[in-house]
Amino acid sequence: MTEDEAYRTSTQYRLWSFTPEALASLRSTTNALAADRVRIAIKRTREAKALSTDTGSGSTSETETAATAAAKQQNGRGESNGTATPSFNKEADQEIECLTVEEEQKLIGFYCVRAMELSDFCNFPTNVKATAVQFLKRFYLSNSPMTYHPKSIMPSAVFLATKTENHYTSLRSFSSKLGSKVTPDDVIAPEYLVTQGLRFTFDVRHPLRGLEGGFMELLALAEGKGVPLAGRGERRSPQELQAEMQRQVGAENAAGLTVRIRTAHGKAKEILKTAAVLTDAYFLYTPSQIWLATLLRVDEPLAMYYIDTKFPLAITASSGSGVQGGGGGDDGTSMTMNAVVAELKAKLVTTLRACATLLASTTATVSPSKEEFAELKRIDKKLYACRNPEKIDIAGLSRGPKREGASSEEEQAAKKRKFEREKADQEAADVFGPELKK
Amino acid sequence: MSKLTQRNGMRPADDQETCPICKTSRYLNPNMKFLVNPECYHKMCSACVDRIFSAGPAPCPVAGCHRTLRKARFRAQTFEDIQVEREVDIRRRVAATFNRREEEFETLLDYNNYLEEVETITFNLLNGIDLSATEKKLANYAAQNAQAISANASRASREAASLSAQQAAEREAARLRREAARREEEEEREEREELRREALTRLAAGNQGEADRIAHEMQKIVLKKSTARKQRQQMESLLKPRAGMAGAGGAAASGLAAGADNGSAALADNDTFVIKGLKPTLPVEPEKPYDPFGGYTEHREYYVLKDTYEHPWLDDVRSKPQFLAGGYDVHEYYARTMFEAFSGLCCFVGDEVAAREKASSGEVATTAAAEAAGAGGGDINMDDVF
Repeated sequence: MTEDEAYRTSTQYRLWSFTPEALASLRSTTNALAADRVRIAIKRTREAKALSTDTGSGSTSETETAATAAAKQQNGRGESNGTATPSFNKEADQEIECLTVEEEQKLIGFYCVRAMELSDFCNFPTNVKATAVQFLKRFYLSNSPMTYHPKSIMPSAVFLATKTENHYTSLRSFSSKLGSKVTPDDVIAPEYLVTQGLRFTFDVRHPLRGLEGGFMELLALAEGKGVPLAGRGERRSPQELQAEMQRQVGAENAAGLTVRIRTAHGKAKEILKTAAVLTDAYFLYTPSQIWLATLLRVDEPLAMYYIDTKFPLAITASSGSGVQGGGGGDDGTSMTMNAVVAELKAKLVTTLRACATLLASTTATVSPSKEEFAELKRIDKKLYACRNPEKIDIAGLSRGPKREGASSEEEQAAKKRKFEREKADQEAADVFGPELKK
Repeated sequence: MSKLTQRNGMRPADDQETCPICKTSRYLNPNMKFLVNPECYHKMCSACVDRIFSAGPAPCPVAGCHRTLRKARFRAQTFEDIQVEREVDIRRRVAATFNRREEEFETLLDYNNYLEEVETITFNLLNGIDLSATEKKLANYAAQNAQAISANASRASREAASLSAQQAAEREAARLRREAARREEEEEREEREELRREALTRLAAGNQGEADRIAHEMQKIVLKKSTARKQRQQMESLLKPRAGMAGAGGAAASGLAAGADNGSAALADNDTFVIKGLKPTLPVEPEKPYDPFGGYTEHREYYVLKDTYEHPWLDDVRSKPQFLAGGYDVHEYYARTMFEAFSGLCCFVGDEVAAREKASSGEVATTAAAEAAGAGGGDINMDDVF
């Protein structure tokens, strides 16, 4: 099994890798579905409310209380904000304006940043942070903010990430950091929803560890200790590889190379921690492509050299570099092999460049600017009007109706019968028989 | 032979009473015993055998029979009919050689064919058809399959031994059970009797008004004792199977030690009583080394893992005892990081996923969208789980 085959078995590849078009269509489908449902749900709620007010004015019978109770149950917490309802009711049947895909994306992006801030605040390691953000992104591929507000989903996603990334945090301490208003129940309530949205796949493959691997190998190459890829036809010695690196990167000696690599590594890591996580890179590229793309962005000669070592061209007589002993016979095959390798390399470089552009394109910084903030506020206000009223109280939904206890009466009756039977047996065994009845 | 039967058939009483060789009658020698030699099956009294064959092999004294007989092979006749005696002997001899078992054959048909062939040989021997050829066949088979024959013979004897041992053990266990039950009953009765007596004495000694109280106390004692006895019984019944098993095992082992020809075989049979359905242990070819991954091999395309890598982070891990003591192996980290660095390097999501989607569905915009619709369906029903 090669590295690529191993990656193809991962859920990230099987379920969470998309072409850009597929990603876009998926998001628009989700948006459209959610909008439809929001409209239906709001209409239903309004009808229930109208019903309750109608009967309420007429009589004070039991039916009235039952109806209001039903309405309350349906509305959940939404009804407590009912001050705006009269005017709202007037334009009831008019069009409910739902969020567009772009607005949704902005909102989700903002909450991804918030998730990172929360992780930083709780001192969670980088992998937890990145996983939490990816969980949010994956969740909102098949769910819309109109159905489940990111504000309630985000803490749950972060908490779930601490668990899947093996970074234990107690629920109590975590929820205490979210402010006094948030109870542990609020954190845990959407958890099942989130896992469902993630299709029960919790493995997120990050490019960060891969970057460390590349960094280690680059350092080894720079010191002339690299291992040539003999299996792919690499015939250069480690020293030759080192010399080639110095030539391509433009450093005089090994020390210079090391400094260069370390700088590139630091910069690449920053990008991987923020931009790579916040963009759609995880959906569109594989982790190793992502970290190579960041390397390409921060130090192109170094990255190109490194890619060259991974795709060595089989040296032939025609290429003219050095005299190889037994190269004459398989000239043709090595030529075609060269062509295949060169094509693959070109394709990889194209992909990496596209990924690098994507990473560079992101404007998501740690804190949004003033205009962005205003825009986000507007979206949130709009969202307030078009939230699915039936899904607002996630904690209430998750609690569900209370279950009846086991039929305790029956049990007690059985117990009583058993006791009486035992007593009768005991009396029967008495030397003088049972007691005389008075 | 036909003459013999004729005589047997015609004058059985006389045959019983006088020796055909010395004409001694039973009247004169009430302890007279008749012996036969499986060489020719001519009957004679033990006195004649002693007289004629003590000095060594000698020809049969019956007129016309020139076979040389030995004293050691004379034995008492089992069956009245000498023909039957002869047939049983021959069958026994053939069966000792042709002792293949059914489980050694792949199909029932093979086994039946084999049995038929054996029966043909037996028939030939019985009726003297192609005697020399048949004998040669038998001898050849015996020489060729000496090992298998002896293995089967020893197995048969082992089976017989283990079967008898098992039966003995079962009988013993049943006897013990019966005895225990009887003892139990006896004890219980005695106890009851004693208690009743005690109750009566106490009642006799006590005051008039205390009768009720004494009766109540006695009742309590009875209950206590009966529960104690029940518990004891339960304990014993829990212990008994083990003891019985140990006894049976021991008996089987001793039986096997008598019957089996080597220690290892006895050991093998020790834990299993039922040996009759045993499959033959074919000479198995030496087991291949176990492959825990079932043929899975790892092949690395984009890197060759080095023994050590330099990384500023890893200096501590390599040197400090707090990492080393826990058993942390930095090589695991090397392998993992290098693997993750190149895992999926040439998986072009754009191409491969698109191809995958096209393969799975043509007319829908994308499978992803279809999946989303499916997920959307889940979205509707998401509350159902609660």
